[in-house]
Amino acid sequence: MSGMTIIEKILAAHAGKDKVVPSEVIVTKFDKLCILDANFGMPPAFRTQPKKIYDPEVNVIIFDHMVPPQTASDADCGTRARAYRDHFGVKHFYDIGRGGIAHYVMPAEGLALPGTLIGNSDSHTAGVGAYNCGAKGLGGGTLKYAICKGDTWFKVCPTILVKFEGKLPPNTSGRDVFFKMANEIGMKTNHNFEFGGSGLKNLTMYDRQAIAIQTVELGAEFSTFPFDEVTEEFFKKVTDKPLHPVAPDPDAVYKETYVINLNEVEPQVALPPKIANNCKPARELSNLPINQATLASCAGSSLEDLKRAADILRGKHIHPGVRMIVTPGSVKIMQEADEAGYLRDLIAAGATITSPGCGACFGKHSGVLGENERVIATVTRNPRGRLGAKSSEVLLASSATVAASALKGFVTDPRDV
Amino acid sequence: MTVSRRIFLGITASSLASPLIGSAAIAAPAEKKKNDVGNAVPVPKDGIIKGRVWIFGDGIWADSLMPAEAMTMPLGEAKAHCLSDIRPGWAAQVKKGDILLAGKEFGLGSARDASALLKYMGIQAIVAESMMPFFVRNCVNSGVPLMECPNVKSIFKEGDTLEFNLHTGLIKNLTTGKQIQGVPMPEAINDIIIEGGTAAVLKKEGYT
Repeated sequence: MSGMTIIEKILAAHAGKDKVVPSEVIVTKFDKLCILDANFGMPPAFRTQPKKIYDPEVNVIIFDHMVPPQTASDADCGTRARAYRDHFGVKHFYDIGRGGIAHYVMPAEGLALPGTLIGNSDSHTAGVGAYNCGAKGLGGGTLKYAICKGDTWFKVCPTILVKFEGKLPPNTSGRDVFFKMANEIGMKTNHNFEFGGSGLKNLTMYDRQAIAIQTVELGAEFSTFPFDEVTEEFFKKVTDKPLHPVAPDPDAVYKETYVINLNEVEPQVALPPKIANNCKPARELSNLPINQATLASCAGSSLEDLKRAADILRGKHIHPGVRMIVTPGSVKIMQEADEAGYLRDLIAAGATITSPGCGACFGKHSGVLGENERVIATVTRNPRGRLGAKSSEVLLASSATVAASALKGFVTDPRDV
Repeated sequence: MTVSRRIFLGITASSLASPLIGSAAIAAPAEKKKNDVGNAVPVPKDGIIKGRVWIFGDGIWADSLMPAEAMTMPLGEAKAHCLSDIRPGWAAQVKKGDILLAGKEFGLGSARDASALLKYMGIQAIVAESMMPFFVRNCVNSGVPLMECPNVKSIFKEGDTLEFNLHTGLIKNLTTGKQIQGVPMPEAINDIIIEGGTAAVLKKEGYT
């Protein structure tokens, strides 16, 4: 009998089975299920409170999509969330100013631990698999079902292995690695991604998170990194609890294997309306002027992203025709960036800092665009109009490329500033 | 003086007696129309679905089906925004029981539940050349019958009557008599859809 990949092992353990194989339909339990502020407004989800739930200890409530609320009806979502907490006695509760984007908060608070299975309504949840857990975006309806009944169904998908070799050159980061993958691998709907290779140790946790989050844009079901010394170092600061990392079996079956040489990664930009097979080197796009530069999202507003932007902008001023909006990924990231002086550098350069959370990434607030405007951003997806007016355009890039472009007023390779 | 200021602020004796403002816990705003199902059509128990088709292209984003500004609106308000970037005014033309026929990669991107919105608008089922997994999952939750079928668009033009069998996957154009074979979902999943989705299961079992 052949072995299992990391995610197959995690799913099997949570389905109470010795083994799962691709295309099997299974029912799993969860260690943590995360309800977001927005779920308390969406009609099919938690706009009305369930009469009973499976286990309040499994519940985590995080405010990230609409912080702070822009409208009275968004504020009502918060009121419903607090009433839910009080009614069911939910302990893991991160109100405005206490948390940030769920995908940064869950691992940092020890709620997404290696080997566990977590669910969240948000589509980019799979990226929390960077921390060696099974993580899945469920949508509001499935989230509600799982919160009530304790489980949900999955159809096990085949796994693709991506092996990293070498080391990233300066001025590149996880997002650039992903853009290279998106060009070389393309759409892989209904597949899991697993990562490995000798270059893995050269990728930071934030690089890994950016890569794993973005694989959702290639159609990834689950996206999981192995546990290594980098992961261990991260969790040392988070929890004293014993960890239960999951490694793939030596004879695990992968549908396809790709090798990505990190030495060859260069600053890239994903053009609208879709990332797969649609990324170009930043240097080839330097004729494109921008109106706005945005640092935000679960794949682009980490402490390292803020540092990279601050390093480029320190002592300089962004282009007069550009406004730059920085939305730190979490309160913790904002505090760390403040202590390190990055926020001061960014503000002095002309950037404005908004409330930690999803920010403009889903196009509702904190710097949306007007008609015919173009933004270069570290957000997660780029269909036309994603960040505002229907005619507006979203270019995706790394934090370094976004900062360099903000400085020049057009798409700029960070190696050229 | 004190009295007139109070009147100016619109505070009456009865509102001052109310415990709402200043209390620690604020009651969750009540939903006025709990059972507003709009034009939703119940799923036929035999799994045979028939309706007039609206045809859309490849790569329709969840962002188009349910734009950000509509995400937390009640469905009755949100419906006007559905696909408004691709086909302005479409929502008002949808009739109860219509079927949405789309190309490849229907429902790209966000996990936001656009299937519930389409159902509310009267869309009875979705047939597409391929569908993104989040959208499939949302259809199962909302109880929206779905069928994937490569090349299905080749035998339809807008306004034709489409009939499909959820169990066998056979799709017929009742206007022209042509037919094509789709890929049915596992029966365990079809059972949930016919039941009305996981939302209906939760209701039946007393969770909601």
